[in-house]
Amino acid sequence: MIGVLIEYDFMRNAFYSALLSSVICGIIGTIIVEKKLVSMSGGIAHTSFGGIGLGFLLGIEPLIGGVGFAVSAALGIASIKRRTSTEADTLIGMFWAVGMALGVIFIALTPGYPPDMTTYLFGDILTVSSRFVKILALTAFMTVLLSISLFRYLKGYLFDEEYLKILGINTTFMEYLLYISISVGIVFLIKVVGIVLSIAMLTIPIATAKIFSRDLGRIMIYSTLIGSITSIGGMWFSYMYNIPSGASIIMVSILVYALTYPVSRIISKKRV
Amino acid sequence: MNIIDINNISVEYFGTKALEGVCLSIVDKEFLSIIGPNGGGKTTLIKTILGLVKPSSGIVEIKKGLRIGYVPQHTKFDRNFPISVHDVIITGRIKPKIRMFSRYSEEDKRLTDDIIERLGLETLKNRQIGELSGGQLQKVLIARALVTEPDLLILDEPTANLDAENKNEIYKILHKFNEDKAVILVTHDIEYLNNNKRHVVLLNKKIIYSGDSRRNNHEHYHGERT
Ligand SMILES: Nc1ncnc2c1ncn2[C@@H]1O[C@H](COP(=O)(O)OP(=O)(O)OP(=O)(O)O)[C@@H](O)[C@H]1O
Ligand SMILES: [Mg+2]
Repeated sequence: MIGVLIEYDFMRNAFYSALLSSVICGIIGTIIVEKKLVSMSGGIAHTSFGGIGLGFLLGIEPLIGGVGFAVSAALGIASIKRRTSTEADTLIGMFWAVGMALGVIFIALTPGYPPDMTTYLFGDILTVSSRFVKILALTAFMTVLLSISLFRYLKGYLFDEEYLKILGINTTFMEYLLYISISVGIVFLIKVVGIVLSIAMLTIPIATAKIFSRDLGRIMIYSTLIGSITSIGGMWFSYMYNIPSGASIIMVSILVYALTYPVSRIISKKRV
Repeated sequence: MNIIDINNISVEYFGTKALEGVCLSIVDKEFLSIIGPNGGGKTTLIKTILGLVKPSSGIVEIKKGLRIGYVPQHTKFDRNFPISVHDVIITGRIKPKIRMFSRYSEEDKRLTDDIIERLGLETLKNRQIGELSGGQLQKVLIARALVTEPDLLILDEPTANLDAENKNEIYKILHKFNEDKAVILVTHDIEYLNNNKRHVVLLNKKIIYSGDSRRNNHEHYHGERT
């Protein structure tokens, strides 16, 4: 494996992307799992398809369109929910479907040969460019910086937002910051595992990490480590057996989850 | 001296009135008890004071710089959240101004340990928040409110699911706190009120009765009696 990594640029890029996206997933995933924003994140990911389609139509980088749509979806869902009596769950469903529909329409309107959307839907880690690796590195760096430097506020906000508000903390700012970080993180994941599979990357490593710890910070660190191992493992399978990378990464991570639980039970029984 | 002035507050939830023209002043160092039927608007009044609910008319004036500690009736948080008892309590020391890389000071830590000791929570402090009984959780929430060193402590039915011993313990803590600070207590514990003559307000959308039962000649009535 090392030889292939050194030899081929695309493998090196894939390797870096796997590591960097695991960092993003470990932190953002823990946040969405603990704040019960999993279906919201699914909605954000799917809504971004509309922006990707718009990117193709306008001839700009599709992921820029995707970020635009994702951030608007997150802030839109939050503010409509606050102003009306419509449940967040319902709104998420609406944004989800409308985003996908817009994407399909924009792509149909795009002149010329229709672009291949499967990389966006299911991801392809073996085709990421070194420019994308740099963007991913910047995103991962920002995610780590924000979560470490504001960790106490983050923890307090995730646990009991109302109490932080009473203490005089600007929770609206926290909410916006959180939603924007989640949206940006998710869109860059799309390139690696795709829209349909991104939610798995944001939940499976966290579920595995939670078997070992009940501390927010540790869950973030463990899920980053678990995510790194499973995504590099998955990437390797993808390369070796020529299967789509997004799907193989997810199968490896669910396998690790399924094996971890019984193994941890046996270990903890032995200790007693 | 008044620390809070509530001027003619009305609150509506999607068309139904929860509070109608409530006027109330809270004097420094007083112990105000609020009673009333379920749905009478007690929690709503408190949330209006805290700024969590916006009144449809009227204003709440709060003395500048007044620090308020709050023990909610219904906790909205997820009890399975990965946070320890100690970390929940120390959250009360978090600074309002969001700064990057801010840390809890030695004083924050010392105050937290003090409160933990005073409320007898030492053995529980490293437990995850979901591993507590209802009464233990209630004490943790009181600790989180006290650690802020508030000038006013607002408690919304803090003794609702406590046994007699814990109830008395909480009342003792409140009385000690009340020696130099103000308390607002929402309660259904009439027995307690009978034994502790204090300023009591009966709330059912409006203030039905407000009186200081320590000084019977100062009783006064608002609006019609029911
Ligand atoms: N979030 C809300 N949305 C709509 N109506 C509400 C909401 N909260 C309270 N209400 C209504 O406002 C009224 C007052 O409720 P509130 O919770 O203030 O009563 P309470 O005096 O605290 O009752 P309890 O003794 O049961 O705690 C009730 O009729 C209730 O149905
Ligand atoms: Mg109430």
